Amino acid sequence: MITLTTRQLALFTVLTATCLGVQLSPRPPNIEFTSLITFATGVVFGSLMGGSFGAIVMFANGFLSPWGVAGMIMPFQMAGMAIIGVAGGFYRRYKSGESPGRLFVEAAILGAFLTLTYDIITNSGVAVLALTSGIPIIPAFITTFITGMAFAIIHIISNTILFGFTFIPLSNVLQKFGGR
Amino acid sequence: MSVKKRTFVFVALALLVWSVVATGFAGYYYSIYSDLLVKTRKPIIYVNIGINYGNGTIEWFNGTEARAGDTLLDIIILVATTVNYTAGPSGAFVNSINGVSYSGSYYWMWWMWTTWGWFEGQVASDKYMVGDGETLYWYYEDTSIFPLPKPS
Repeated sequence: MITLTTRQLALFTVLTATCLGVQLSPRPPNIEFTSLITFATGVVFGSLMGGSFGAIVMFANGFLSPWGVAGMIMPFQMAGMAIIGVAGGFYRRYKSGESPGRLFVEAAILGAFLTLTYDIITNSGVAVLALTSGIPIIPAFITTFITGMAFAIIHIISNTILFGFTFIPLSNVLQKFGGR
Repeated sequence: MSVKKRTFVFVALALLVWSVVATGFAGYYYSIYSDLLVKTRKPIIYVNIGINYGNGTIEWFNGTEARAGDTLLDIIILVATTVNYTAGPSGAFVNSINGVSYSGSYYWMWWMWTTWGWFEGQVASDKYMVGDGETLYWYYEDTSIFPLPKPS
């Protein structure tokens, strides 16, 4: 069972609200802060809380997103974002004691890798949706991945920059404020 | 974890991302290039356009003459009397065709006829370059239904 202090619970709630607020605001496609905040939440609160955070945010996003209702893609989005939160929980073990320069580079690489993982999972969801339209499995996956690649590249580049420059300062502040 | 092992893990992750993205990027541009090559082979193309108003009325504009490079939005503007759309960052959003506007969960969706039957359009209509002999279909339909009803 997870026990949180009032301060930690308040921080978690504020993070959830902030993340949802930013996620639901109109923004360019595939430029988002949810992955970063979810990963940082995992680092500060652990894998379970980070994973739950990501899944909850994407659940709400699935209904309220300015890009429309997610529908059948939602479970894939929830799984993808939960993985990012869980990864944050794992990374917290390796974060302390390293030089800041190294951590900035590692955060950027993790940002790229986790975003790629998320995009592969969500594109698989789109491909599954295409399968329900009667398209055979191989064309469905190839078409979906090729169509999604332009968006995935924007997503990966933006998250690499975002994680690289902001993850360490953000997680340090959150850790000081109410980390577990 | 030792520094050496840690460095190795992160270098491997970076290379993995790079290889997947580079492969995907190459595939994406190859697909766009091949598509463009086929679709711009002839200066004049002929396409079949269907418009289903969702109330039983279906109009077909078979053999519509268009220029190579025209998008689906260009074609619908060509055949319909009025088309209202809003340009957005992801492409044009078609608000109404011939006075039939989106309402509630009813929107204008577009479909393409393929070897596997009707396939829902994956991009905005102004991002889809139409090819010679293609059959495309505008369908005013209830988007709250899953899976989305295909043209019949």
